[in-house]
Amino acid sequence: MKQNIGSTISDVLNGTLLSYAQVFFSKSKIFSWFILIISFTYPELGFSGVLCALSSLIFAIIFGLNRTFIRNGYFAYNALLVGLGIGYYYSLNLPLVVILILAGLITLLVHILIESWLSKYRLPVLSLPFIITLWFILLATRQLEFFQLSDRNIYILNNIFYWGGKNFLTFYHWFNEEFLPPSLQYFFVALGSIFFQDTALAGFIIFIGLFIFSRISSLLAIVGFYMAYLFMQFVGIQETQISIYYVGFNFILTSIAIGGVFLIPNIYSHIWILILTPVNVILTLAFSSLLSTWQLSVLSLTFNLVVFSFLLTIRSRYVGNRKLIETVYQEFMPEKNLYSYVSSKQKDTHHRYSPVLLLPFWGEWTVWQGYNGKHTHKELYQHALDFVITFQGKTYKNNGASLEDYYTYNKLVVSPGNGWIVRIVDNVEDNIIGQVNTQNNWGNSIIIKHSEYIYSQLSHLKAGSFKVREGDYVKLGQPLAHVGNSGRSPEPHLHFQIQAYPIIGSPTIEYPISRYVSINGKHKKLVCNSVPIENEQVENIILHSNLMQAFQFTPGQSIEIIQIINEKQQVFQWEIATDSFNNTYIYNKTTSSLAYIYKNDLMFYFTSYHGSKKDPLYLFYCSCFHIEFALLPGQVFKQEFPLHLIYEFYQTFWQDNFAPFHRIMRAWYEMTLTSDNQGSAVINANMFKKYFLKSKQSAKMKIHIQNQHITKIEWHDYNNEIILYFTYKNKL
Amino acid sequence: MEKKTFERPVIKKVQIGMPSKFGLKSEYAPIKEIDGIPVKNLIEQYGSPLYVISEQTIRETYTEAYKAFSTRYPKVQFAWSYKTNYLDAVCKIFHQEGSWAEVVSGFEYEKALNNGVPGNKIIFNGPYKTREDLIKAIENNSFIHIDHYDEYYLLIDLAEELNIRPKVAVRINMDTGIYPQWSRFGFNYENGEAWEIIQRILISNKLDLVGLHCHIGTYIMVPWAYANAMYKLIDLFLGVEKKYNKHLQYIDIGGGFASKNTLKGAYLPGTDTCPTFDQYADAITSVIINSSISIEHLPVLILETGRALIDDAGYLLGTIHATKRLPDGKNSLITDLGVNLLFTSFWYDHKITPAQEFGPYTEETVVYGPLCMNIDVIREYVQLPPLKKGDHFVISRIGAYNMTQWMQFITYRPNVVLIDTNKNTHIIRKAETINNFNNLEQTPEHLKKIE
Repeated sequence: MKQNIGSTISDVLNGTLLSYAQVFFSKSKIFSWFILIISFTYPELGFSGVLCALSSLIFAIIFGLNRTFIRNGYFAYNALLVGLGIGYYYSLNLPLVVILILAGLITLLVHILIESWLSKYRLPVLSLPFIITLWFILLATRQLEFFQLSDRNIYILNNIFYWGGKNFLTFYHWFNEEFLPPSLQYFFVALGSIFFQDTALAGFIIFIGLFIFSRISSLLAIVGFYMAYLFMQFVGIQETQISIYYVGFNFILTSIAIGGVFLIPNIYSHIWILILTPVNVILTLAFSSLLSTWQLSVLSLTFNLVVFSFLLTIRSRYVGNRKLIETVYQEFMPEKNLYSYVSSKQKDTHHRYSPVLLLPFWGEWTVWQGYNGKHTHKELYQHALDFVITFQGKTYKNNGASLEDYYTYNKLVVSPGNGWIVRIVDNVEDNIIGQVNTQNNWGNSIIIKHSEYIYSQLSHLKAGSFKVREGDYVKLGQPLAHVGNSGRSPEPHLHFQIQAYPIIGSPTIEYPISRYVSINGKHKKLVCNSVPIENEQVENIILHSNLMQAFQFTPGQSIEIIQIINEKQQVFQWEIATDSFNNTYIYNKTTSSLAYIYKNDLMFYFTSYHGSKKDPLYLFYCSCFHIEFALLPGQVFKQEFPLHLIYEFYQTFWQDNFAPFHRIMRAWYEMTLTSDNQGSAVINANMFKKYFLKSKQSAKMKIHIQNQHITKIEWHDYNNEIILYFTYKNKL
Repeated sequence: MEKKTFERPVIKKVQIGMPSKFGLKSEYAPIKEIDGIPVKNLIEQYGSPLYVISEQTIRETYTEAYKAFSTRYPKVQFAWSYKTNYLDAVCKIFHQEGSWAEVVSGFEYEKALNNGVPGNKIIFNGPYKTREDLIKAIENNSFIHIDHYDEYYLLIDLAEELNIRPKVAVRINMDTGIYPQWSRFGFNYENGEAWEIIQRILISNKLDLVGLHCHIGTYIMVPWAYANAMYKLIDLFLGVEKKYNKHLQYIDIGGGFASKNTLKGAYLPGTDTCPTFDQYADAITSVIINSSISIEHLPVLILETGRALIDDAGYLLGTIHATKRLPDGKNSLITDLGVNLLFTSFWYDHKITPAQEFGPYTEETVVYGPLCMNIDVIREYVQLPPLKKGDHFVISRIGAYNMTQWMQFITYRPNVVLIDTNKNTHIIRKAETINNFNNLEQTPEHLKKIE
């Protein structure tokens, strides 16, 4: 019980602290401290903010809301802003304290209300609860007499003199009036005004915090603000108006949100900031006039509106592109989002959301007609593939007069993916060679549903050869039927297409084969997520079941790790667990580091790592960063590491400034399967680093698998030789 | 214009009767070259008799066989049967193509290791494995196919002694509906012995049972016999799954596929009657695919076929030493190669083709070897055009067993030449000389002088 109270208090305090950084989509404590301290330049203001945030979190605890959201400040940042807002307008007295506590509750309720509405559209709540709550509080309290409008702005110089004496006052004047050019002064004021600060100095200090937290965000803040500034000058708006309305921060926040947080920061996200900011200016002016009727400020309304509408527009795109990319997994720091994305771009993470499809047969076949083929794969049916088996360039032996002469005839067709059989046609006789049956164009066919709007159709099969029934669930690679020569088929071949509907002969859609082997003479190559072209010799992959078994980590399982560095032995306990989003992770109980993992039919990989870089789990992360189950012997598989997990913070610090446009640092992983035979396998892995043009191997790893378990990992880098031994406690 | 060859006249009896009124067709083409290299040049350069092996043919045959299986089944592994032909160059071609090694003696095991095959890609078969052989195989992590109970007991002892869990499979014999039934190797399926040994291995847990093996015979001309064998193996495989919840890793269906040679006494030539790889593959894989083994636990299918992969790639070139008319009027040829080099002539009617142009007339001929032994007959009856002393001829499809079962008897064994895929020739085994024998023999002191 005591422990519970302790952890509750720590969660609330943690949440209150992080709520400051949350305004900038950050979870950085250092950054939070910067803002927290700045907010206390006016102690009453700072206190109002803290009180309101605390109130909101305590109510969240009483309601029993999600602890993670309490701990990371997600339920508090709106209340914090509301508290700062109230503290800004009124001087502190007892009734105001009550109002602040109630405001915390109202913000929480509005937050939940808005979240339940917006989450349907997968939109973040941003600061909408803050705007609504503050408006209502202001509208409600304006008439109440015991609330006195704060007069602290009038006496700011007194305060400064009081804090730092004459020298500080001189510095303040110099900094504000002489040192900063006017535009920069407005910029810092705008930044500070997010937290209801009205001096450039406060904004400047927040900016330093922002810069330390994220170089990308701070650049975006400048880009967004200056675009607005230039546009306003261009259309002839008084520059002072920017600060008078206290709306400058709308441009800054919009810029950070769209340019770096909800989209992967790149040149295109920056270009969109340049386009969206003028739109934002117009909206801001419009809402200022509109709201002046009720004497309300725009606050961050236009930031919210622009981000919502832009995100929805991005998601409504009919044709996706690789230029504007939504952040799938939010890491609360543009740099991390960017580096993770660069790493995952290769990693085809889309398999987590769309089905894995392989070739529907075994052994070596040839693409007879590819996409946009010259015979029948046209227009609605352009994305289809026809396959045959050839030997020494021919599809048949003897004189090719009978069906049995054709290598393809009667060969097994297997399921390209997991799914349900939705349709089977099994009543068309095989044609004799050279004739086609245009009455029943598709011949005997089967349709498998892999997911919503992803169906595969296999056609020209042999009547009476089906091994499955309609309604059956089939697994990847399960035999379905034999190739025949039914329908529009002059000689035995297999027609394979992906379509969006469960009807035979639906229009085709473009969909890649997740993995296949491309053969060129004696040379074989594993191809990922591609569509084979006409005349390409292809082979289905063979999955190494040893690797599949060895990298099967089941929640509940525990592993004892013995780490040997220079003959010094250390023991660690690892546990496999799963979070509420059903993501599996490995947790090092001894050091509390953790690493998220993912496995499907084709691969195992780490999605992220949280903890020290000296941890054995980190060695495991680096050495088994991405394991391909279908790798050909001797072939090298390359994969980019997320930079922030390989380099230290200070190493990437300068690169971060221009990382969205160009990256001079790289770190990548290479794996080869050295041997694999009946339960034992050895994987060689390497870590490479590249800085400017210089690249070097920074670590060499060897993973030993025996009896379908990882037994040992050897790690060599220029300083250390480390060996990890694995002992499984309750492997299923 | 090239000078026409002179051919002596032939007196030929008109033959009436089966198989048709025209008799068997006698017009066929001479084999003047092998893979583009003239037979004449080969003999000039390397002597006669001469074994010739075509790398091109080996690779093509392997690809054809591999394709036949791999387009029907996802996990196929060939293991080269060393006893069929263990010349290093030949083995290495198969290993390059992806074959493992299948050996049946300590000698063959050493050969496979010398050829660079990793221990865990060697299958050790056969009824005679010595204690030393087994220790070596266990330490190299090879697959040991148990043939009899005494071997099982020995393996249990060795497992304890070496503290290693050997990887084993069980050789099983069975009635597959053909004659003869090979019952001398392994454990019988029908009388329950096979299931008993499997249970004993699994219960004792000292050995790691990874597979099942059978080898139903040799020169099997009916694919359905393999299907029958596979039904029985799968019954055992599923029995292990059901009772012990263990998924065996492979089923080794052995070898025995027929080549295109014609067996003695066969009515029709082998080229017309022997099944193709596709027919064998279809019979074998259909049974596994249609069984109730789930797709994730499909075993690796191992094939140890030897003869069908190598027979076509081997040629034996010879020269006519003399011709002789026998008292019964039959023509006979004395050649420089006999049963010492062509062991398979005891069971095949080998195809003999002259290496130079010949006319349309043939006569009944007996072909003898050079040995001073009455049994040295290559063909007792063959229709051949009139050949004369010094003419060359080619015996095709001799790649299997001849280069392992050959004898150094009365004469030396000749050169073996490989024609690679770029049409270069290489000696892969040198002709024997008197020194080879002198090196091995030791004469006691008192016998050194014969005076």
